[in-house]
Amino acid sequence: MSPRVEHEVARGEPFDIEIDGQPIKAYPGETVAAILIVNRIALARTDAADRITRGYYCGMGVCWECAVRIDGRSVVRACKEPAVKGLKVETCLDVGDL
Amino acid sequence: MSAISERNVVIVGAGPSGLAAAAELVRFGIPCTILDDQKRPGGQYFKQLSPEIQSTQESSPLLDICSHRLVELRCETTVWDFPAPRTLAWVSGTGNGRLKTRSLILATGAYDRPAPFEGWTLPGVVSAGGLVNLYKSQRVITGSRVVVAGNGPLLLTAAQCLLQAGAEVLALIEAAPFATQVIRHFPGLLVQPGLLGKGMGYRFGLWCRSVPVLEQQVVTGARGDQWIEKIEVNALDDKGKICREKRVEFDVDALVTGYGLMPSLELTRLAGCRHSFHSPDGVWVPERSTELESSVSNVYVVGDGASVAGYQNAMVEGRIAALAILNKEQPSSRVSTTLKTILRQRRRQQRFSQALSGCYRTPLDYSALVTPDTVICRCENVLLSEITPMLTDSASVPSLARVKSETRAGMGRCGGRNCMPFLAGLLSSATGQPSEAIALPRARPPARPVRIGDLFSEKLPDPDLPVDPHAPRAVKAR
Repeated sequence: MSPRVEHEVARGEPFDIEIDGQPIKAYPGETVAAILIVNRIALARTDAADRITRGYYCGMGVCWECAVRIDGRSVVRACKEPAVKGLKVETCLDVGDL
Repeated sequence: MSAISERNVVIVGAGPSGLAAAAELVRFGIPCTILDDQKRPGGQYFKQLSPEIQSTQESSPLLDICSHRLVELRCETTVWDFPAPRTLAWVSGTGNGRLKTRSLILATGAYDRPAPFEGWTLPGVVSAGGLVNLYKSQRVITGSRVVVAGNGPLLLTAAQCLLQAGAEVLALIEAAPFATQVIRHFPGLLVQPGLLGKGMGYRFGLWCRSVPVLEQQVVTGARGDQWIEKIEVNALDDKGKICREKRVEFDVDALVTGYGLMPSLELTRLAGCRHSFHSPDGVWVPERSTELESSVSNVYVVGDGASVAGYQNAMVEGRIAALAILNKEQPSSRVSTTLKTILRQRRRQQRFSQALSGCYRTPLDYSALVTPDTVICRCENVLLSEITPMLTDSASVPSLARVKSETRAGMGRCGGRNCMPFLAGLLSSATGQPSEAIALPRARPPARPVRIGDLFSEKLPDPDLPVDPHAPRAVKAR
């Protein structure tokens, strides 16, 4: 079963975004968070001592657990970030970036 | 001084209560401005499907109000401070500024009550609200073998979304003894036959798909390597104590948890509204008059952002605040008659929501769900074992402010929303102080994280007059 509901749902033409260097299929109207969930990609947080994994949690912009870096610059909430063709997403953030 | 625009009525939040308030104002020919930090109006309840995705979806007629000529709707606009009473500071991707308003309606909604347990930070553990949002806006769900667990009616909605999406719901785990409590509260539920029918329909749906509903049980742990794989469920006794010997495990690829909703109080606190502790629900709520005015005059607080009672009550409250403003600004017999009628409707709504929370009442002590290794503050990755010494140290008086400054719990991007409510309960259990005696750390701007670059944006309408975030504050938050 796909986490993308297909019954009675029509999506546009898929395109690729890049997550940690890998091309990953996305559909118009999806957020980066949805694509991470569909592909079961965990997010990593590192500091000097630790490497921990996190993922989408609140889904309404409160918790920032889904934060990723896009196009090598800003840290954004994946749940609010629309996927657009060619978007480059990095899932591993240093705790200091947050 | 910076550029301040003036308005007659500003509504913060374009969810059910905010939109209902706008609709009522417009009905009487009064213009209003709505600010919302989401991309599209509707709030969480009327969350719209992404326009690029087509599916069968009921759209609320309430959303039509957004395109009315008397309504100025500004989405993706974050209100981050109140530099003076009824003057709000806002920022968006395209600019920033201040709005001064004669009347203000705060309709900021609610969020999932955080209830930490071992493993709750694992990817694949999502909040009930998060699951419902993902389904509503994108028709995506979190997994294929899912357990829905926690407390409250939102779990039924989440389970319904999962079933419609074709996922296998292994169980719905409810902490409250719902089946026994519902009998006592049934008369109150009958006040809202529509909502009652909806809830019963959801439960019937679970029964049809043979989804077991396990009551007086609770998830005490989640395990997995990179993603959730297994959860542990324990029974609760009648006093809400966890029975360690009565446990079952489930193999899952997702866990949806929700322990009810809590009002988002960042803005009511920054606006200087007085709050009091509502013990049945264990939450702080802004104090309000019958007409929903807060302790700050001409500032109204409505919907789940004031006290969680569902979308229908929220819409009624939005109308009440709008009518109360109309009653002050241009009183007429039509306004006062309508107001009386709507106030009666609210009493009915309140009766229903009290009955519903009665059905879902649980004596569960959330602090019993955590272990020393449990992450309490997600943002700063602070474990319970780092916090406990602050609570038991006899050398100084434990307080949330001290926990915050010494452990960094509550200092992250969520602004403490994911740990402070739990920490307040923990502090109360550890020190024996009643919950209402536990002061929350002072509310400070920004209410939501904002980019400094956006506050000093070159896209400012008037680049010579940037907002000074360090300007003296006229209102002290509690």
